[in-house]
Amino acid sequence: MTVFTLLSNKNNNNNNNNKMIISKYNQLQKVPYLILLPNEVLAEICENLSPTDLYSLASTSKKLRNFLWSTSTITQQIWRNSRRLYFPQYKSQPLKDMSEQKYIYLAALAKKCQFCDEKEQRKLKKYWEFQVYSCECCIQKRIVSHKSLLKKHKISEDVLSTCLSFGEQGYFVPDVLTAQLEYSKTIDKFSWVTHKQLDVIQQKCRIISILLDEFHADSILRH
Amino acid sequence: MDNGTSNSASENETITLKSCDGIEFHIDARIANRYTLLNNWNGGESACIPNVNGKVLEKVLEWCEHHINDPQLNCGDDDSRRRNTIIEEWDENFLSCDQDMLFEIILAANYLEIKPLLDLGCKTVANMMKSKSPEEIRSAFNIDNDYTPEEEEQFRKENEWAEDY
Repeated sequence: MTVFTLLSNKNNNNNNNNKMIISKYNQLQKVPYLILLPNEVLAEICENLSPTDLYSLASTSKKLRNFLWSTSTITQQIWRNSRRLYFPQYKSQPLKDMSEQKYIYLAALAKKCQFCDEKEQRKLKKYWEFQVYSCECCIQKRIVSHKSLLKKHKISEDVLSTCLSFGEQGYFVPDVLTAQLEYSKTIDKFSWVTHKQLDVIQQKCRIISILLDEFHADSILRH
Repeated sequence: MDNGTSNSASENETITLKSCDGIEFHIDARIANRYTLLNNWNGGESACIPNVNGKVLEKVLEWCEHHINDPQLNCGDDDSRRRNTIIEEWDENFLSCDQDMLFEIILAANYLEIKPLLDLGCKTVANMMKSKSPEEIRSAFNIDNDYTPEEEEQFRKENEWAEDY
């Protein structure tokens, strides 16, 4: 049972489990080696794949989905390398609290509005501020202006200062609601707000950096 | 002879490797020196490879012998290693075997820490799934779709943005 000893060699927790699986499959002569590989070997294979291929692979089974959707260092490394190799124009790091998976999705893979499935390219736009890929119509339904949030919805200036806005158009409602909820639960409101304001500044810097990457890539294409 | 066991094996020196099923192979000692192949090899004339059978070990050693004069890779040279996606013709033929053997070679290379062979095997597997749909990958690698529709639904809710990609 060579395969078994090798598979389990660095993966002791699953010994018995794997042994049973392998003997079961050996009888059928069809071993799903790919999902039985130790993670470090699986990672080596994934290092050769494009983000699109990684998405397909992740959709094949639970084990591969858990592995490829993880936020573990090893998985983030796989997606980062894949991004650098296949979409080298995106040199910037992901936004704060954004996974590599979501980053590359928004940057290069998204093809339809995430709210209404609209597929017509010219109606679609990515909104890094809200981490959303959407058509004009759907985003408008979810953006509320600064003024109306203050006056009509009684959201405090403090809370709004911790959210990202899209130019003068306003704020993304789900973001505002989350911030409002957190704010109401916080005891030391002053330091929470200060902390969040710093996050907003940092996030803006990262957005600018990504937009510059996109701008450079576009201008190279045009020439 | 301070570092004699690790670096100075000459061309004619051979050592004997024994697979887990007791098959013996006489190999050029330079192979054993080159890879950390034999963690428990103490410089003696023979060694046991407890986790690899004769059939697989024969293939692995065939590869090692063919590549005995390759330049050594720098360990830190990760990028250049990955970016090189071209597979030489000899290697391609060498790995056009059935899937059982291919994965056994990969696992053996991982176990024996023969990095270039591990890379080669992983690249070969990766090439088998490039530009394929999830269904095509499943059938190529005998993977069962173990997702229930409810779990699919749950996943979609949690990852709305990546829906149906």
